[in-house]
Amino acid sequence: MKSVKIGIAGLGGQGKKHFLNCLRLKNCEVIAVADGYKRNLSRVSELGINTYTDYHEMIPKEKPDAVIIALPNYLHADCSTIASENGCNILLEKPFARNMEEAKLIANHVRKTGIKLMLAMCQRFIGSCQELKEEIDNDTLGRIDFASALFFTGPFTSGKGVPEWIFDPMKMGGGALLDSGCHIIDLLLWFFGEVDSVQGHTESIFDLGYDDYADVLLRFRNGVNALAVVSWRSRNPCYRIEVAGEHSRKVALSRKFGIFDVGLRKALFSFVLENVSQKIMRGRPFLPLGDNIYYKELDYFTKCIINDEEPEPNAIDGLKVLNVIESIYEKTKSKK
Amino acid sequence: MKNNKHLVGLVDSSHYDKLSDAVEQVLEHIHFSFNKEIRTVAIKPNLHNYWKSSSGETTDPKVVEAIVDIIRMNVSPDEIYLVESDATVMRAKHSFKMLGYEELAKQKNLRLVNLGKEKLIPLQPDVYAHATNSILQKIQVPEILTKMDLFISVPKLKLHSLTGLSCSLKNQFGCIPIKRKVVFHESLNKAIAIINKAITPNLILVDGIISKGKTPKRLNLLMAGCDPVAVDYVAAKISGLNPKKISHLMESKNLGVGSTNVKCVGANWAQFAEIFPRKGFLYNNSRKSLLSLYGLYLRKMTLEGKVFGAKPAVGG
Repeated sequence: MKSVKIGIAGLGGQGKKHFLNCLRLKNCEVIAVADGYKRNLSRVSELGINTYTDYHEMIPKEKPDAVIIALPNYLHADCSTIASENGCNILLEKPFARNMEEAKLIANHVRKTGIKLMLAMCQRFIGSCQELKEEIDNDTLGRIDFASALFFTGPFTSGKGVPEWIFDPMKMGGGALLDSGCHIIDLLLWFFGEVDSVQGHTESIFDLGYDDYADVLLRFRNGVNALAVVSWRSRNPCYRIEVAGEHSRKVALSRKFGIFDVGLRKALFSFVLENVSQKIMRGRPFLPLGDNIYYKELDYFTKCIINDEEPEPNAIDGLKVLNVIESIYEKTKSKK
Repeated sequence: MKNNKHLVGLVDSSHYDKLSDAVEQVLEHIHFSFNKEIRTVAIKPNLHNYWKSSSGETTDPKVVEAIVDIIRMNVSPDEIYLVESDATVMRAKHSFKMLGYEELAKQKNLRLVNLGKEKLIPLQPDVYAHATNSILQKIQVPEILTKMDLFISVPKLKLHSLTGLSCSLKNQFGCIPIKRKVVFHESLNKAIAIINKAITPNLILVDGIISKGKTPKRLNLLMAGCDPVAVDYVAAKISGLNPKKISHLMESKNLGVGSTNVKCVGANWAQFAEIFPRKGFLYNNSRKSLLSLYGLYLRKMTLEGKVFGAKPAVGG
């Protein structure tokens, strides 16, 4: 397989990013897009791509090599099931699912059908996080006692429009811990392996039927203690992973993921260069600045499909993360 | 309703144990009295996105609670409405819930109204005459607001990226019940003036407890008046802005919404202006940085002997 034929389910904020990155990548081709809003689709159809208003129709008809699922949380399980039944590989946006029940359903379908499922945990592609992972694996930090991960950002503090489904706790399945916390818990599990015990609690001041703040204390089997804090309340975004080792302390930071990942000058240079060349050579639309990690993520996913390799994080990694999250939700419920 | 339109009252709320006492005092400053025949009251807070009042962007529900208590102490209205409309990135129903207004409505028996769902009427001919382009001619007003016995605007005092100042006049812009209010942005100043001409509040109570300038800051300011132009004139002074350069303020004045002939009563506006977090290079930390740079320059000059003569030779 030289080029991966891709179908995109959902053309919201994340869907658009993936769509634009698909146009940039040489080893993939978008053959179809499904979205409930016809306004989103009209611009896509101008590029000669098939459009559908329902992914139930798109997937069986187009049978793409891979489906990018960038739908609201409550549709993840349904769309993943249809995609796997039709033999399509899946790039699934976070969170994996609303709960363990749905997650197990997806994982079982993936196992039975033998397709590849990758969770879109874009933060694994932040340069400083990858460097940190390398140092941990190479044991250059020495014995690690403590790590902390802070992730302060959310849908209500950005000043952008918030989709209606986010206000529905049933459609969300959880709040800050599930929707944003899955990122940092996934990173900590990626860094330190198996979890021994979990403690944590969640709070809500927005009164939306789900949490907008959560703190989690994880004890790993290798002796590392890690604190993860996620909040949707702060209007000052913060992303900070800190690992305190015997020899040194290492911090991974990112404010605007793409730009600060590669450095502003380099990002601007590549942005101008790539966009101008794409625009002139192929007449393709201009791309947003700062989506570098999503580009790397999609590039990795398509290469895994072409080379027939198992992508990471996969359904099993997703189950582990969701297991941590659900245990905290259960503990918070039982306390109440 | 007896009032003196040119009066703008100011109080420092930190001097009062209860917020309602501070509100009562500021109303006394402007000699505001409630007409006993009031049956319906509408209160329009400033809800912007889903940011809590501590951000300095939205009206504190406690200020609204205080004015509701004072209304109920003075008159017995059949209904008190809390009104707001959807905006480009905010839905009123979610804002009411997330910012504590739903809870307040339950406690105080208020009716929450999304103006976008109310019956709309076109602008009155005298106001329509000022709508100079097709976008402004589309402005409609919610009928409910035109039928109120008392309409109270409870804006937040803050700076705004497009209009410079956001206070009582800008708060009225939220009465235009269209979700995508960005369509008015090209004629924003005129649109603000027109909506204020169409629906002028009877009373303005400004929440300046925490204000947003360069950053949010606690000012403990409560300001009241019956003339939105007069109130915004003082608000501009407090924010360090030149009122004459605030286009929507001048447009509103020219349209006859109010007057800039103001008399401040109560606390001195300058005390709030001193602590207001102004924007710009010459204020706050930037000013300090500039001074310290100048200090460094002087020191360098002194060491080089350019200010106090040549540096003495070191050593033999």
